[in-house]
This record gives sequence, C-alpha cells and structure tokens, in this order.
Amino acid sequence: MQENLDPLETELRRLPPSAVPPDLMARLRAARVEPEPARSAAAERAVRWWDWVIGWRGLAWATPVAAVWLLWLAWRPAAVPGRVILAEAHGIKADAVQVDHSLIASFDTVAQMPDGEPVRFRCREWQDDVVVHDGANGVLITQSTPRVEVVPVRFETY
Amino acid sequence: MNGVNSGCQHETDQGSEWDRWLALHAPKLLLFARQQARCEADAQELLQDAVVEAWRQQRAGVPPEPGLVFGLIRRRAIDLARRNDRRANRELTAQDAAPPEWFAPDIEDRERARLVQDALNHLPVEQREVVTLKIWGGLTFAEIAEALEIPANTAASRYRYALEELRRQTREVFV
Repeated sequence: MQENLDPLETELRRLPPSAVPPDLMARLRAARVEPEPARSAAAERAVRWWDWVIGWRGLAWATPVAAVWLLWLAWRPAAVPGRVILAEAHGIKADAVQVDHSLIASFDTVAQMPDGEPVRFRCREWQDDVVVHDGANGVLITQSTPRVEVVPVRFETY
Repeated sequence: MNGVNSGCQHETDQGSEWDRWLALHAPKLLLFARQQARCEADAQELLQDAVVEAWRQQRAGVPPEPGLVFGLIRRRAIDLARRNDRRANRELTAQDAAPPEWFAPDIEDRERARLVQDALNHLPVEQREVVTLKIWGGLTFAEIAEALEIPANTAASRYRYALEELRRQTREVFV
C-alpha cells in the first residue's frame, strides 16, 4: 500500500544516506556473531544434568560439616531439665557496677497538628553509660548508649 | 561429508544474508548514529556495538529488525554522552570542526543535501530523530515509538512539527 506522501517527504527521501566507510563496513562484516549449533536432545539432557551438578558444587563444603553435626547429635550428653551445671556457668561476677546518665542536649521545638494546633515538644539527648568491673577475672565492660527523649509539653506549662 | 558441505553452505548463506542486511540497512543506521553522536568515531563505535548486540540477541542467525538496532544505537548514545560529559570542550570543538556529510547526493542535489543537513541540525533532537527514522529509516510510527520508547502519538506529532520546520527552512529549494 503506497502511503500519500507530502511533496517535501518525497524530496527528502530522494536524498540517500551517505555510504558506510569501507573500513567500517569491513569491521561490521567481520563482527557477525556465529549462531550456536543446534544440540541433540540427548546432549541437551546431559548439559542440563551437568548444570544441575555444577549448581550444587558450591555446597560441597557443607558435607563434612553436616557429618560432624550428626555425630554430635548422636553422642552429646543428654540434657537434664531443671538442672544447671554450675561448673559450666562462667558468668561474670561483678564487684562494681556503675550507671551514669549525662544530659548532652536539651531543646524545645514546635510542630503543628493536622488541624493547625501548635504542639511544643521538649527534646533531650542523653548518654547512658554502664561500667561493669570483675576484679577476679580482670574484666572491665563499658557500654555507652545515646538516648533521645521527646516529651510533649502541655499548653499550661509554657 | 555431506554434513560438512551443508554446514559450509549454511554458513555461506548466513554470511551473504549478513552482507545483504548490512548493505541494505548500514547506511541509514550510520546516518542515525551520526546524528546521535558527537563525532564520527563515536558514531561508528555506536553503530558497530549496536549491530553486534542486535545480532547476538537474535535467535538462529535471523537478521535483526532495523527498529531494534535504531533503539540500541540511541540507548548506547545516551550512555556514551554521559561518559563523555567530562571531556574538555576544547576536544569536542576540535572533533566537530569537520562533521561528516550525512547524505550522498547527485552532483545537482549537493546544495540541497547541505541545506537539509543544516535544517536537520537546527531541529530539536527529539524531532530530528523521529524524522530521520521515518524518512530514511523507513520505520512506521509504531516502530519509531518502540525504538525511542515514546507513545506512537508523540512520535507522530513530533514528526509533524519537524516536517513543518523543515518546510520552513528549506522553502528556497523545495517548492
């Protein structure tokens, strides 16, 4: 079906694109990708099976781990409910515990509720420090945790 | 022996099919690539990469649809432009000093070809790529829409605007 062309379109179509430079054409000819030869059904099955084996190869290391785990399950001492073996309890016996709270910052901020009512919040930034000392074992544990406290302030208080 | 012969024959057929496909489509693909790239070297690289990728995507050695290659050229041109953004302006100016001729006209049409190339250069990129794909690429609006990832109606309206602008700019030679 011949479409109705605008005279300008006809004129433009008369201008052919310039030829491809010979060296580029040679490169394009050489760049043809060879299609893969078709495989027989048996070969396709073998390839699929091998792909499956290769896919599980990454889990080969897990075999000895699984064997050791099974042995441990078979030989482990039976656990007695309600009995705690004290010799196995290696908890820390702290001889000094120090808890400290430091106020890092305190400020007020104002926000608006959906209905436009202003709400004031009092924001405080704390640093909680805990120091546990076990002199017998020579253990000192310190933990420092930041904490933010946001409290709405009622109208009557400001 | 017959198998070997038929294999060679098959390869030769594919080779000649590939040559025919290149002879038919490579010039218009290069025209589009030249419009998308900043220099001739980039245009040739775009074309080669897009053709190879399109051919690789095809199954059983069937030549790719030109629309697919046009789309690949455009996407690769966008990537290339991003990479090239850091180039020095001086380098780009030097590359643009001698732009290649987009058309291969007869002697008497040489002036027209120059005017059309100038007019195309003055079009917005979006209109220029649509008019190029339509006039010289031979694509339908649906194919253009797919290649440029735009709605077909958009492609049609861009083409209409581009044609009007080209008409205005080339009024002296195309009456």
